[in-house]
Amino acid sequence: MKLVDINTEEYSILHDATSNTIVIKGFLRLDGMEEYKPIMDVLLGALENARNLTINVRDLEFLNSSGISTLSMFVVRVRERKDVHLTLQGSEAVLWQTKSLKNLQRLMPSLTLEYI
Amino acid sequence: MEPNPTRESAFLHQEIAELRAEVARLKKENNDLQLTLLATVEHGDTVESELHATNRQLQSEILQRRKAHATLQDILETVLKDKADLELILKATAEHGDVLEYQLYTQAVETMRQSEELFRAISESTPILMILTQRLDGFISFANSTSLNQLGIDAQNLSNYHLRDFLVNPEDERLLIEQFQAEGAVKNQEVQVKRANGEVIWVSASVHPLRLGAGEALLTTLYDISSRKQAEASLLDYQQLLENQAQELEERVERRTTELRQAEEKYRSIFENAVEGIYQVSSDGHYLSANPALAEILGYASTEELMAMVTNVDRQLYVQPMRRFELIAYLKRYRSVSDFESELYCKDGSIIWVSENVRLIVRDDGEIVCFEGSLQNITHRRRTQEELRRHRHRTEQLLLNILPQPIAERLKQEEKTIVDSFSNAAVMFADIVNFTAISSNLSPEEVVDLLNSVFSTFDQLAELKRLEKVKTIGDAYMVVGGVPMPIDDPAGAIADMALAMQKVAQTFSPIGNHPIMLRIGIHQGPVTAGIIGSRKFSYDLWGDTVNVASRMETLGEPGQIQVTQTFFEELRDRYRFEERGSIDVKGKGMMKTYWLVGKIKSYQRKLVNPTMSKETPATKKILEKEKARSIISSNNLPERQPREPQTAIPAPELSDLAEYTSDITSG
Repeated sequence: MKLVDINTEEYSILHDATSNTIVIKGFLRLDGMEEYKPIMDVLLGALENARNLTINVRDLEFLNSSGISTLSMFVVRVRERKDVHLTLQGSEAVLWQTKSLKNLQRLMPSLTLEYI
Repeated sequence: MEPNPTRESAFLHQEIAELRAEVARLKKENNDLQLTLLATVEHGDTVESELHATNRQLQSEILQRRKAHATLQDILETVLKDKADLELILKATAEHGDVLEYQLYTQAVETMRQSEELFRAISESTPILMILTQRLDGFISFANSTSLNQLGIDAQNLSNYHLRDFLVNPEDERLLIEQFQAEGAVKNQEVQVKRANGEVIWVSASVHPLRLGAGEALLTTLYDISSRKQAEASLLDYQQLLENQAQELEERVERRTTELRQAEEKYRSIFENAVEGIYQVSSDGHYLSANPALAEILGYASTEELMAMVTNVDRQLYVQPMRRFELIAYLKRYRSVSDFESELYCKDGSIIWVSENVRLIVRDDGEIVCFEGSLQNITHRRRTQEELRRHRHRTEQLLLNILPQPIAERLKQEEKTIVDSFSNAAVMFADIVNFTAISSNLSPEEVVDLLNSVFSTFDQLAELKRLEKVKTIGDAYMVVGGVPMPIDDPAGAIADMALAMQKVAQTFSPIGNHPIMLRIGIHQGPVTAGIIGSRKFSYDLWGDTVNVASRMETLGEPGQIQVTQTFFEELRDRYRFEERGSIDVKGKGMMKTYWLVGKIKSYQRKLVNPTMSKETPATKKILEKEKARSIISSNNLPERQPREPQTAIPAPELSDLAEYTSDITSG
C-alpha cells in the first residue's frame, strides 16, 4: 500500500517504507485535532503490518499542543498493538523535544527514545 | 348480692338472656374463625408457592447481577486506564504548551528587544530629524538625538514643545496639516526650520500617522536639504553664467570667423609667396598640395607641373630613398621632425640639399592622413659648412704639425704660457755636413725638396720611436725623447733613432761629389720645455742639456754620433760605443765623449725576419717611395688635401721603417 506523503511550505511528513521510518520536518501548527487527522492517517497507515516503526522529528522545529496530543494518541495506539516496537528520534537542540518526547515515553515505557 | 330474690330472679333472667346472647355471638365468631382458618390455610399454600417461585427468580437475578458486576469492573478498569492515559496526555500537552509558551515568549521579548534596538540605532544614528507628536494636542512625545541637538529641545521636557515652534514660516504648519488631512500622509514637503544655533535650514518634511496603544501619533521626519538647495541655487547661477558665456562665445566665434577668414587669406598669401617650399604629401607619396616656391626649388615650371610629374616622392625625389623611410619612421614615432636634411633630385636631374620640417597628420583612429611640411634649399649652406669643416680640420692638423698633441690641447684650452720641467730627457741634434756646399749646386726648390725628403724620413722615424721632433733650423734637425710625454726608455729610443738616421743618410744619392752625411750629437739630462710668446709660437726646449747636446753635434764628425759620458753610462750595457777621448767644450771645459756605433745584438728586438740582409730591398723601396712622394707633394702643394698630412704614411711603409730601424742595429 502506497502511503501518501504530505509536503507543504511549512512542514513535510515523509514515509520511507523500506526502513519503516516517518520523517516529520518544519513547523506544525494545525488548528485543532481535526486538522491533524490526515497526519494521524499517515501514521496509522505506517503502523499497519509493521513490526518496527521509527518516527524522526529532528527537524520538526515547532509542534503545537494539538500536534503533541495527536502524537500522544498515536503512541497509545502503538502501545495497544503490543507487538510493535516504536523508536522516536529527536534533537536536543530543539527545546520542545527535550521535554515532550520524554512524556511520550511515559505513555509507552517500551518506546525507544534517541537524541541524535 | 342475695338479699332481694325477686330482684334476684329478674336479675338472673336478665343474666341468662345476656349469656344466651353471648353464646350466640361466640358461636358466630367460632364459625367465622373456622371459615377464616380455612381461608387462611388455603391462602398460605398459595403464598408458599408464590414465595418459592419468587425465590427462584431472585436466584437467577443474583447470578445475572454478578455477571453484570464483573462486566462493570472491566469497564471501570478500562476507564481508569484511559483516564491515566488521558491524564498523561493532558500533562504532556500542558507541558508541551508551557515549553512553547516559554519559547514564544522569550522569542517575542528578544524580537521586541531587537526591534527596539534597531529603532534606537536607526533613530540615534540617522542625520534625519525624527519627531513623534500627539495627534490631538500636537505636543512632542519623542525626538531623536539629532532633533534634540539641532533644534535645542530639552529631553526632560519634551511636552513643552510644539513642532510649529521650530518652523520659520508659521504658514507651513497649516500647509502640512492640510496635506495630511487630504492625503493621509505628507511626503517631502520642503519647509524652513530654525536650528538651536539660529541657523535657518531647508528641510524635506514627511508626516506619517502611527497608532501607538490607544492614542494616535504622528511621526514627522525632517531631512536637511540645505546643501541641495544651495546646489540648486548655484546651479541656477551657473546656468545663468553658462548662458552668458554661450552668448559671449557666439560673439567670439563670429569675431574669430572674421579673423580666420582674414588669416586664411593672409596664410594663403604666405603659402603662395613663401620662400620655403610648403607641401602636403599623401601616405602613398603624391603631392596633395604644393606652393610655387616648392616647384621653383625643385626646378618645375609650376606647382601643377610638379604635382603632375611627381607621383611618388619616395622614389622620384629622394636621392637615397632610405632617407625618406628614415624620415617616415621618425615621424611615426615623434609625430614631427625638424631640420631633417636630405638630398633631392630636381626636375633636371641635378641634386640639391634640403632641410625639411615635417609633421605627421593622423586621424583620431591613428590612420595617417598626410605629411605636412616645409623645405628649404640648403645646398649653399651645406657647401659653406663643408668648406668650414675642412678649414677647421686643416687648421687643427697644422697646429698638430707645429705642436705636440697634448700641448696643442692645453693651448686650445686657453693656457697662456706652458712651461714644464722634465728631469730626464734625451736630446739629439743632427746636421747635414757641408750643406752649404751641397746647396750651392742646387736650385732653391731642389734644396727645399732635398731637405723635405730627408727630414720627412726623420719625422717618420721619430714618430715610430715615439720621439718628439722639436724643430729644424736650416739643415739641422732637433729631436727629443721623453718630452712632453714621458716614455719608457728615452735614451734607447734616441740611440735607435740616431743609428737609423745615419743608415738612412747613406742611402741618399750623393749630390754632385757630396754624399749626404750627418753629424749627430746626443746628451741626456733635465730640460725645460714649453711655449713662450703668443704669436708664431713653437714648442721649444731650454737648458744646459740642450746646449751640451748641440755642442756634441757641432764638435762631432761626419757620419758619427757623438754622445756624452752621461749618455754612455746609461746605455753602455746595451749599445756599442767607442771612446773618443776628451774634447774642449765651450762653457763646459774638457768633456770625455764617445761615439755611438751600434746596438748589442742580444738587446735587439726581433722585429724582422733575422735572415734579412743589411741591404734589403725594403730599404730601397722606402727611399724610392719617399722621393716620389716628396716630388708629388711639392708639385701639388696648393691643392693638397689637409686630410692627408705630410707625416701620414700608409701602414706598409711604417712597417718597412720598423724593419729598417732594426736593421740598423746589426751595423
